[in-house]
Amino acid sequence: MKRSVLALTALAAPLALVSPVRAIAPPTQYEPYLRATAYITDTGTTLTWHRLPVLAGDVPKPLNLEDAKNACERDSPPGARLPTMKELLTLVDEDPVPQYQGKQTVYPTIDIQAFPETPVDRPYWTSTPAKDTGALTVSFATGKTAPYVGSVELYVRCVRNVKVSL
Amino acid sequence: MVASRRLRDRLAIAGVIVGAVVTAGTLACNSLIGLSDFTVVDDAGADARADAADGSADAPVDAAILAPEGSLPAVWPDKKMPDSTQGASTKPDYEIDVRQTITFDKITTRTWMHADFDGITTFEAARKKCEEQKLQGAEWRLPSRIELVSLLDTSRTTGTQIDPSAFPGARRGTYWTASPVRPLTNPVTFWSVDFTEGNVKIGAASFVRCVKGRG
Repeated sequence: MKRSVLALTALAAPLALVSPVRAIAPPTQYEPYLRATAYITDTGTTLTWHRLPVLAGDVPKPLNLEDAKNACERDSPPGARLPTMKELLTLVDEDPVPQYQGKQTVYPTIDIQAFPETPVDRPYWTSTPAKDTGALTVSFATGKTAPYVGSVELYVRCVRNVKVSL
Repeated sequence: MVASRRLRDRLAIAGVIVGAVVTAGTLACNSLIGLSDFTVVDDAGADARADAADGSADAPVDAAILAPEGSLPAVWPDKKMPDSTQGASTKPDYEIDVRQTITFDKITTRTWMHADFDGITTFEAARKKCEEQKLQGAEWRLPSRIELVSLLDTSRTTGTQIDPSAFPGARRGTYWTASPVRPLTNPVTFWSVDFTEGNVKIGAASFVRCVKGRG
């Protein structure tokens, strides 16, 4: 009897330690959304984000800087644009939870329930110009920012100043 | 919410119509599968969490490492993001007190030290400097990562990436935040914001500008 309790405790203790305490953004951070919701509004920043990155078919598509800007601006309905670096940094989850991507465990620094389709093997473009050439980017693998030249193909998540009424 | 319900109703109606037409059945299935993609990814995340819990994943597990005193939990934005960059939705709006000791950010409702401390320090020394700061009352603290990012002025092509009239004498270099880099590493590191490059990076010896107030 005692042994089985001990065994149970030994099993449960590490589970309790590593179970994510606070996996995602607080419940009021994003306006309520359903599984099929396409746009999510941040109640803090009031920005409305495209829930999916720019896709080719149903796969996130890396684009060069020029194509990234065009992909957002030509989106329908009008009003979408590439976010600035400071805007994209407002999506960063400083306490990331693990997710399987490309056969490995990564820690995407974003709310993976609000933005489940966020591959982190490349950074994401922002509209903020880098000092020399190209633009600044945000890595959701690390939460860091870095300048990239415009010809590199990176992921794209568009943003809107106003909500989209479906 | 209402729009989503309408969308769901439309989908339901579409489902019924398409379901009746046998030749269009394949198309209907494709669209339904498309919608349930979110579910698939959610489940993958759950698997990863379960694996991390039973120790079968080779990713770092930070439960054994404790965040040092003064570490902030994950902080989420509670206000608009002031940003002078072209295309951004909200322009910065600062107010400086007559004695020029504090700068109030009217967008984020945070109060910042108008001038920062001289010299670079360790994280621990930076934390103490803010705790001991008595300028216009106590309760000064190191900013969170997103709070310090809010001071960046990435529209500047030369010089320090901060508004020089709101923050005169700002230094070229990194400033401390109280947000630890997670998953926690041993030793624990903290995020810093580089006002030379306009970047967010892992902190080494950095400058200090304290903040007070919340949203």
